[in-house]
Amino acid sequence: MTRDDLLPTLLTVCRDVLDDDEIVFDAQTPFEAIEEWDSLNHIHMVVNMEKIFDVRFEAAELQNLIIVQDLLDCIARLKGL
Amino acid sequence: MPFLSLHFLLFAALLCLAYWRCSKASAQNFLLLGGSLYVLAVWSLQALVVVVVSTLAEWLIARAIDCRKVRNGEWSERLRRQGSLATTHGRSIIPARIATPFGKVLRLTLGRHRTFTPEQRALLFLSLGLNLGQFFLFRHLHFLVPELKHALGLAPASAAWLNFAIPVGISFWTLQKMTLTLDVWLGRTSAERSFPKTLTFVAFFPNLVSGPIERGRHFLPQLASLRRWDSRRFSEGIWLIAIGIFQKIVIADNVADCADALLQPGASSLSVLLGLWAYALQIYADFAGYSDMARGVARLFGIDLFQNFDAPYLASNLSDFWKRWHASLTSWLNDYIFNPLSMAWRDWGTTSILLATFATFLASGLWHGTGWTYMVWASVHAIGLSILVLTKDRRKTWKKRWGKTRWYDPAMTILTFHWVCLGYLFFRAPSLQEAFGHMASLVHGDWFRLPSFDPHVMILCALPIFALQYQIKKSRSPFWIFEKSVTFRTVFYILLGVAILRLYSPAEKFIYFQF
Repeated sequence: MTRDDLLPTLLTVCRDVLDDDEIVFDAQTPFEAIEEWDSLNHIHMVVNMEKIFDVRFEAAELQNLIIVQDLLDCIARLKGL
Repeated sequence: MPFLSLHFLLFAALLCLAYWRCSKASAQNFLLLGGSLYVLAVWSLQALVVVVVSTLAEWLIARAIDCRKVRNGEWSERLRRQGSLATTHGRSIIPARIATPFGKVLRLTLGRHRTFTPEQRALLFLSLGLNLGQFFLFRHLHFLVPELKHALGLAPASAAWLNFAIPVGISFWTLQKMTLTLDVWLGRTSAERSFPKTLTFVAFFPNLVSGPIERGRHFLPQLASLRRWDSRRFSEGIWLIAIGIFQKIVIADNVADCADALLQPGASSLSVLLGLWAYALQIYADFAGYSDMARGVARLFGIDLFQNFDAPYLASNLSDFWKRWHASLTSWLNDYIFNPLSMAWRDWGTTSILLATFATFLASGLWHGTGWTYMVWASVHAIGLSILVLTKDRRKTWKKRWGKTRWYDPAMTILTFHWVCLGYLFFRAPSLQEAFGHMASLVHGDWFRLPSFDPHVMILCALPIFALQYQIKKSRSPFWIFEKSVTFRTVFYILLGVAILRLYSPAEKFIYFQF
């Protein structure tokens, strides 16, 4: 998996977990704008991302995310990309 | 000093005049602090002392943790050599012996990139102990002592010593104050260097009594520079105050009579149902009205506060409801309880979410007050959210099958609203016995027997509340009025003014003042 693959894969995970095929976002989208990403779905997202990207998040790494790019950077760092 | 009093009106007007004549941020901050302490002193001198002393303690602890964090760079190597601290690179710095769930939560929350000393941990526990101790002392002791005596079969001796006054708004500003240390600990912000600014944050008079519950990292940066006059922001403040007064005086105070008449012991099914609808309108208009006024008053001084309500009765499910109802409390509980717990337990799958949900609502119930009714109310919501989690896959199928139909979304909204009303049955009742009595009436009561009440009042209150919520949801902003034409705005302002003046009465207490 390359760094370029992260965003499309994340989008696929997001659409599957949040059950909305019409979700669209890019790296600059703030998480607040993804309405379905609420606290109940957050943990589903975390578990699914860990499975798909084969990484393990620490809570502290996810607490200050503002835009999608922050999450992509975090995943890239954990995967050593 | 309630918002709806001549005393407050004069105070706010004079403070505002002086505030906007200041040419330095420090002078503006001085006025905000002075005004806030004055309001606190008017409420009670005891509250003033408790707020100042406990904020000083919190500020010192947050500073101490922060200083030690800075010094960790120098300390870590020495401590590592002493074997008392495992440093970064993915290893835990919490000893394995406290691998309790709470310890695990702390360990996961600390992250892998920071180091913490035993002194820092002790300071965090000191902060938590002081805040929770203060909260339980003032909010729960008078309930727990008689309950314990009853449970242990002890004689109900005089409990006069428990009848001390509860400092105003303690539930709100305690949570607000806790974020000072927690956010430093979590690395979200550094400790505020100025004690006066910290005290202004905790004691800020618009949101002191009933929120919104602010965060230091949102509020404190607003005090950093001179606030410049902005007529648009000032108008928005006036609008929020006006709509808040309208909701409180015109809606909440009028529909309260309907709720009281309908929710009497022994009421019929229809009476309980209508009573719950009336109470839903009352509590929303009362609390959202106060929050709007608080945000409006803060805006007059160029300060932005958290938006607490966002059309909650139009929520599509219970999770959506909690994003829209008392959002400042929900996000606090999410950030400091639900998310850390669900992250810590995530390897347990769905169970982790269910446990974290119940723990969060248990905390919410305790926050709201003493008495078993609050715990049952919290359980109703925890059960509702658990059903959402457990039926996630099934709801996907429903949505695929019926989601495109015209009735699916309204049906979900109505279902959510009535689940919330079920919770109100316990939230409002003075005892579990009365709440269960109403519940029994709902199921097998005499359907059509109604007490004397005016149904027109309920209809006239429901229409503007739902119209306002619809407008807020549609335009995604509480300032939708500014998008309308001048004619519409003028007519709307006149109607609002007439309604307020016609129905004004010396204000009763706000429901959320008791918290």
